[in-house]
Amino acid sequence: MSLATQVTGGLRALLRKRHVESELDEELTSFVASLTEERMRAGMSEAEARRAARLEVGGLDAIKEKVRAAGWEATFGALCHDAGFGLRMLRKAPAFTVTAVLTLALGIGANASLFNLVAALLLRPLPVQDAGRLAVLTFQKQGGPLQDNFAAAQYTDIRNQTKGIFSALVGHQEGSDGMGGDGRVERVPTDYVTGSYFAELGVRPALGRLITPAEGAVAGADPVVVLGYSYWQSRFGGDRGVVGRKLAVNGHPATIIGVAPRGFHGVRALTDPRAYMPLAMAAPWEGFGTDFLTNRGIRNIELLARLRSGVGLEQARAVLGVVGARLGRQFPASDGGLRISLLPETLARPTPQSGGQLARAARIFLLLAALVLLLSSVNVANIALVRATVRRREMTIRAALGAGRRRLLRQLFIESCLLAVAGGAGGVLLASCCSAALAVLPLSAHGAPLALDLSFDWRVFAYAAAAAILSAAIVTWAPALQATSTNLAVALGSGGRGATAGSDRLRNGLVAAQIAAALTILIVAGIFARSLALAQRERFGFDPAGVLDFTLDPAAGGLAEAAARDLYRRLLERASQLPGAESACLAAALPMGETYYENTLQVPGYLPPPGQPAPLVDYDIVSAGYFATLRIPRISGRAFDDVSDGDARRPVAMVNRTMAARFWPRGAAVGASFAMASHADRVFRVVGVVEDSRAVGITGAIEPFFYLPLAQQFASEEVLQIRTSQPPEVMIPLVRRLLADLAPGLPIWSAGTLEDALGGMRGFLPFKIAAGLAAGLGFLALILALVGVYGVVSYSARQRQREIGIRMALGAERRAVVRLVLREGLAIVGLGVVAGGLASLVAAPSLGRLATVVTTSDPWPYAAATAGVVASALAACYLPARRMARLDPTQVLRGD
Amino acid sequence: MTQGPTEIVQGTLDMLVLKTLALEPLHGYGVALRIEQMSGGVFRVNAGSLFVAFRRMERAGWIAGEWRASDNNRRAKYYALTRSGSEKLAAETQEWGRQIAAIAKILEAC
Repeated sequence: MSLATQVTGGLRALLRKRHVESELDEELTSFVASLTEERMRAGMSEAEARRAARLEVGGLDAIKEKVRAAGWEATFGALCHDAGFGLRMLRKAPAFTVTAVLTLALGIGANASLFNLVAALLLRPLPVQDAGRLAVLTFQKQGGPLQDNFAAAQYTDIRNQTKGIFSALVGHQEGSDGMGGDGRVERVPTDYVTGSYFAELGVRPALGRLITPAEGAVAGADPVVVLGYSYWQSRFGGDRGVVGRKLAVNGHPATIIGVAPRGFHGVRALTDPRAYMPLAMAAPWEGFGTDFLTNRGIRNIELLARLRSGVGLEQARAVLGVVGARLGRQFPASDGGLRISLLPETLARPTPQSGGQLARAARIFLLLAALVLLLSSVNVANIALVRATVRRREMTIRAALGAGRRRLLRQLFIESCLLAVAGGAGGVLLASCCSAALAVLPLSAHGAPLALDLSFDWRVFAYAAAAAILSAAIVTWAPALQATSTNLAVALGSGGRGATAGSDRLRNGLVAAQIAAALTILIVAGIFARSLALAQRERFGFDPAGVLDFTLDPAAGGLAEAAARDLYRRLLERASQLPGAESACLAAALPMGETYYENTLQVPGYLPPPGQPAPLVDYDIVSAGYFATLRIPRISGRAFDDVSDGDARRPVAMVNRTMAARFWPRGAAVGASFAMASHADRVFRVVGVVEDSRAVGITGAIEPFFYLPLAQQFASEEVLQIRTSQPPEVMIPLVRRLLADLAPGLPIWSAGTLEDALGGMRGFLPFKIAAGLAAGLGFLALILALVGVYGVVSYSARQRQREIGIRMALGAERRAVVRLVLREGLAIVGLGVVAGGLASLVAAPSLGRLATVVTTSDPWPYAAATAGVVASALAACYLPARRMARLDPTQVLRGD
Repeated sequence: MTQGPTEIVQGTLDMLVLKTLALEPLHGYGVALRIEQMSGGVFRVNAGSLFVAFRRMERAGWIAGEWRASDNNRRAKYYALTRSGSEKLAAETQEWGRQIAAIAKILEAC
């Protein structure tokens, strides 16, 4: 059957209705006329023949109706008719319509905004060719933790052996560099990329040229920079003459060769590098050793592949498994036990190690939002139920006139759909406001502002539409159940006044379900809030109060190592003499910060448990005053000394309590030694052990950690930390003046308090976002549920107005009336609270798998949420109860 | 057993209409008359069902209508079989033959 003729025929019937009608008319008339002639030929008189023909053919109108109903356009026409009727009905009840549309808009809006956020974080593909086939490479060593930082030498090996399965394999290393050269230096997020990066991703320049495969193989050989589109716009004002211009990267001369296209933001979903440089330039510009391209122990680059079409994930994993095993045999020292694998790019967000945390959190929040949608739909269903009682007369009359049950249901559903369409449009509007507000939030990843694409796409509209249809179904369901299952005669007789006990039970059940859903959401919100509070109360092992941080990078100001060291020495001296300063120190990395160092250790005398790889340990590079400034107590041995530890040929280290206990369990940590796998010839001697402190994560066990003295291990970018009794607003200008005095023109990357710094993405920010989102949804849910409780209690109180009037006339006290009404409300609320409590007890354990949830068994969230719901629901019941108590019985009894 | 004309066997109207149109284009009354004649007066076509069938098959592209003057100079809509219509007729006829054979087998078996 041809669809085209179906559609065109239907459209013709719709658009040229009169023509098609008259054609049918003429056809039928001619049919009757032919039949009449036939009968006359058989000997009948004309009148007799006509009568006989008419009789034989039957009612012409009935035939026409049958023919009309044969096409799809008939159903369409009926739908249009119903919709028109529905619109008129809605216009006749503006209060109902406005309330319903607003309530639905709230529910749909909450869902659409949350989904938009999830889509931006997890669903939208990268803006490059065939983004659906991109995958992030990961590896494990001897069953150790999942990692994604490969050595540059490994990249070359893997690339050469996987040409059959990958049409692209690119490597990149995120950086953070001081861009200057025009008198102004600013630190921006950058990306150091392999030569084939742009060519294989299929990216074309907006201006000039991009980095070519020949570049980036020799350390320091190609000092060129490709600007990101947004940076070209913001810093260079979109100047087309920018190609060929010189600029300074961390003080090193470089040339701009081109601009990346608009919309391209690298290969990490949430970051937007301001500039792209050849990988090999990381040696001079980021201070990597020149051996980082060949040393298999220095692992800094992340790999992204594009599968050839027709190659599946499993096939690729199998090939990578073979490649990993081959590398392990070839380089047993560095690559022994190597197992390479890969993850689809969208599943590796934000990092492959996060193990789907973000997706899990997204599912939980989408579920909570769906509950809010349920609540808002139930609210509308409830008012629609009241309306259905009023409209029962209309429905029964229509049923009596022959409208089928289906037809009446369709009418109800169409009216709900009209509400849902308006509510959906309102919801999308609301969501776009929400997204605009969200875009201003100062979120950052890896030290750079998050590149969240929050513009709506088809996914968001489809989600909003699905939400609207779901709510329309819910809104239809309850009134439909009631309105169409009535006995005609009874309903007509009751004059559209009475409500049946069944419908009251339905309404009460719906409101109880609302209370249950709201309570569940509030308990979840409480669990997130409680986790935040517990995390903030957590003892970190250091004292962040009263510590100021200033991030500096003398290299970006053009200072070489010797000059930078001199600057740092004088800076420490002067800073600790500032009024109110107690002590000062320098550290390369901050606790919970974006920068961190890690390396695989070789510890003589320590054997990892069977099947475990050599230990991968985090560390920091600090000046001698670090432990005093952060108030981390020393347990044994000595502290660093900026002067006597100056000899880099006798490397020393300090370790935390966990590291000392793990590697040297017999208490012989001081005097013991270890080396890093990347530079096995440098043996570090442990000179002291300090108490454990949290450095890389707020939750979870404290892992081994060690410190290297800045005097031996230079890193240009350092954080100056000052412990002070002065408030920051006094102290920060003092330090700025000191810096301007010691190093005029040296840029200060950031200035603030350590407590603020702990609020980042690796610190409290995820806790705060989770708690804030859940609280917002919980608040919305509570309001909706309270409206539901208020509505049902005041409605049923009005139904009992007569009874209450009689009671009062017979001497019932006001307090008794209040109790009467309250009791009914309380029964509903009680049922809801019990159901919601049970539901959250069942659901809570699944929250425990989120990193931001510290406890799911703490009683506080349950108690607080239940108390809050009961108290506010009581208040919602009290309003109608008081109104009833103030009734004048004589008026009520006369009124009916 | 009734001896007068009966309604057409359910589900076969389309096939019968297509068959009558396979010989030559006809108007509505012509089709009804032809079916009655060809069945020896056994089948009588209900006008309502016939016009619904016309509309449905026109939509499906099996037949195409054209206004022409009839034998007695009245304007009438003549329906003609299209190519997909004759394919449909062939398929329906074959299917019908299969069903008849199957039914006959069952009846003989008892």
